[in-house]
Amino acid sequence: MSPKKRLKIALAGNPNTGKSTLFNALTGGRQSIGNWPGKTVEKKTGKLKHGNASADIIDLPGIYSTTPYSIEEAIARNFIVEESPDVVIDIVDASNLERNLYLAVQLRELGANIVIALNMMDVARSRGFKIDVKKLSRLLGVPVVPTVANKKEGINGLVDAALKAAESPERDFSIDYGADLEPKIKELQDHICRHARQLAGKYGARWLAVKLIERDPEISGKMRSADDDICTPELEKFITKAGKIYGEDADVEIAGKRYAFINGVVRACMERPAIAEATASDRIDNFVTNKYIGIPLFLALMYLTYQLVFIAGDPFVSLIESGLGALSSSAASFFAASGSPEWVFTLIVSGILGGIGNVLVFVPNILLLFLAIAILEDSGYMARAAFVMDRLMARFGLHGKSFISIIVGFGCNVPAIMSARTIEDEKYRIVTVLVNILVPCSARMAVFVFLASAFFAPEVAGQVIWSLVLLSFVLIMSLGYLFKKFLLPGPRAPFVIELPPYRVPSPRALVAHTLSRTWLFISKAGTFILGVAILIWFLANFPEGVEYGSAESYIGMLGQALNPVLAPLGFDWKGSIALIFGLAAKEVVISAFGILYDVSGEGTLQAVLAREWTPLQAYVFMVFTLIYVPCFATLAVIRKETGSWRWVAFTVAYSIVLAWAVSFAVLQMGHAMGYA
Amino acid sequence: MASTPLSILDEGEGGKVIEILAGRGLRQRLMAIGFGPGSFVKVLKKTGHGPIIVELKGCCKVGLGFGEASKIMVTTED
Repeated sequence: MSPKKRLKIALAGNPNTGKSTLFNALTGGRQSIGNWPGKTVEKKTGKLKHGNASADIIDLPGIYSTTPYSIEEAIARNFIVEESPDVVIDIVDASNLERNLYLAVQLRELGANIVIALNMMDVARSRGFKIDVKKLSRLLGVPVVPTVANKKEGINGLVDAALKAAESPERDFSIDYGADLEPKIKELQDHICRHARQLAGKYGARWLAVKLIERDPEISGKMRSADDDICTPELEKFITKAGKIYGEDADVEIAGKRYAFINGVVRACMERPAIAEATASDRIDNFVTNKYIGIPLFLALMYLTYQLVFIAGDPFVSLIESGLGALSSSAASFFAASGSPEWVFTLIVSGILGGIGNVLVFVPNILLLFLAIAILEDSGYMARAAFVMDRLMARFGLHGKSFISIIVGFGCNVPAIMSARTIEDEKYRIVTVLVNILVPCSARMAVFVFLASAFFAPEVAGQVIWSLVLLSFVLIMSLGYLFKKFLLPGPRAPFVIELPPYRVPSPRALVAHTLSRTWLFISKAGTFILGVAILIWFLANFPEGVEYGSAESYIGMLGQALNPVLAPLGFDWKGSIALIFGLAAKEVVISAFGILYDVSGEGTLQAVLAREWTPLQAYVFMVFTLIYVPCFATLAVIRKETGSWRWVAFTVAYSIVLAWAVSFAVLQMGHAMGYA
Repeated sequence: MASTPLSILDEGEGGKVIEILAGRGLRQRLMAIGFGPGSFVKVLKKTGHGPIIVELKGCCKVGLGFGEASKIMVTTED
């Protein structure tokens, strides 16, 4: 039997239509909903199994149109054109039909073979909307399947429809752009067929013509650089001629015709109550976005989140700590009894258990933090936070949506920087990316919690950490202001954000979000951090014969070489070493302490540290950790998102200088206040 | 048809979108998010000269900067 052809099915749709939920329903729920808290900005794939057909499911980013106004839209459009999926399932919010069909129409114009999943039928019904599905399908010329993805209703029907559509694709579709524009489109189409045959074959000449009249920048660029000898002035003449009828605004006319078509369709197949009553969502919004209540409410919510993360997580942290303590002392006595060589003992106990264990301790905190972020996102509150903060943010060179990336940054800077993609203005996006590294991510938070609880009484430790969070806010605001003013000056960026209806997050989705992100943290500890821990152990244990982690070991030499630079900040060479390894991942700072300060039989690592450092030294160390160069993963994502190593180099340089300067200032202030 | 910027409507007032006086990028973005020519918008919430919340066609809500709302011209006539 010949192997069946592997189908490729893409999922497209507006943001907030339940696309992630549908993706999970189709792929069996075991796939992760996005690796990062930044939501579906990366391409995700899963596998569909249904009868004896199998297919790859590709989740495209949530988009409103196929005009590449944002990176997401460009990604989705290019995927559909370049990879030509067999079927595109377009998820349409039944309670918000007009706007959602705007994308559907554009996908059809693009030549995608679409099947519409009419999702959130329950919400539409509860609002009294009556939709004639059969008629909708007939008018749009594509299969339409009603679904309620979060209750898994209609999924089988959707899969059947998609498989059927794959066998008999329906790709022809065009909108009548009216007596004025149509002749121009035809003319341009002929011109394209003559001069850019390759592009016409790929995209369709009519689609290219419409896009040129809309002055789509990407398509215009492609046309200009087409291999075929396209005559640029001639082409420009055609476009200008087509656009001239409506002055500059041919794109408005085109959008208007699309909406007119959609309005006709919707009128024909949907009935809705004349007056919509104020929903619970409206009442919540009245309160949450109030001019006076909005910001204090937001701060209170953040404060509660942190309390929850640390107070609720604490018992579990102690549990893991004592478990690891028992493991390490039984390992110690086992090796002592078995008479194995010294290096085996240090490798296992100090290197591996010390290195990874001290990081794994923070899993409960991290898990709760990811849970809190998932609740804020899934409930619809995050968009309101951006709305409330926009005015304040704008004063500091940032954007309302920068705020979402700051909040996500408390989990991890990598998805946070990726989430900045939703900011359309490039300058604002870059400023948002550049300052995001100052948001203390969960890994740095782990270092703070570790040091704060070692050096300060429990009542004070919380305030110490809070002071670092405030310091990071002050730095983000000041640098945002400076970067925007001097580095990337430009007009204020537009602020447009959809405020989705509030929803009680589905527990299943929350669990999936939280676990997949937490698992990433744990697997990093198991692989990457394990590797670094062994490397540190090696450098601390050699050359042969040196005392473990002493000044004569490789690591000691390295630390001493760096000491002249970091000594003015009051760090000893072991602290300097820990910071170097923190470049790999910030949690490694703790692991490095665990290895460098050999604690076998001398009480806990924190107790040992508390004897060697003063609280002020520890605080300055935390300040430096907060600011200096982010981890490699973050640098890599900055490269990816800004598209240039220049910004990576700039980030590294500014963060080192800033870290040194602020730490030095804090140290001097501490001395002035009489601390050692 | 007389048109006024969306930003000067009071809370609870609404109108039909006539044109969007913005650059192509923002204009297309606004049209895609639901501010199509002829669509009906209602102001739900204003915050002085800060961002405003509008409702589109009785189904979805959008937060807009004051500047953006000033570029959307609507008519309150039927």
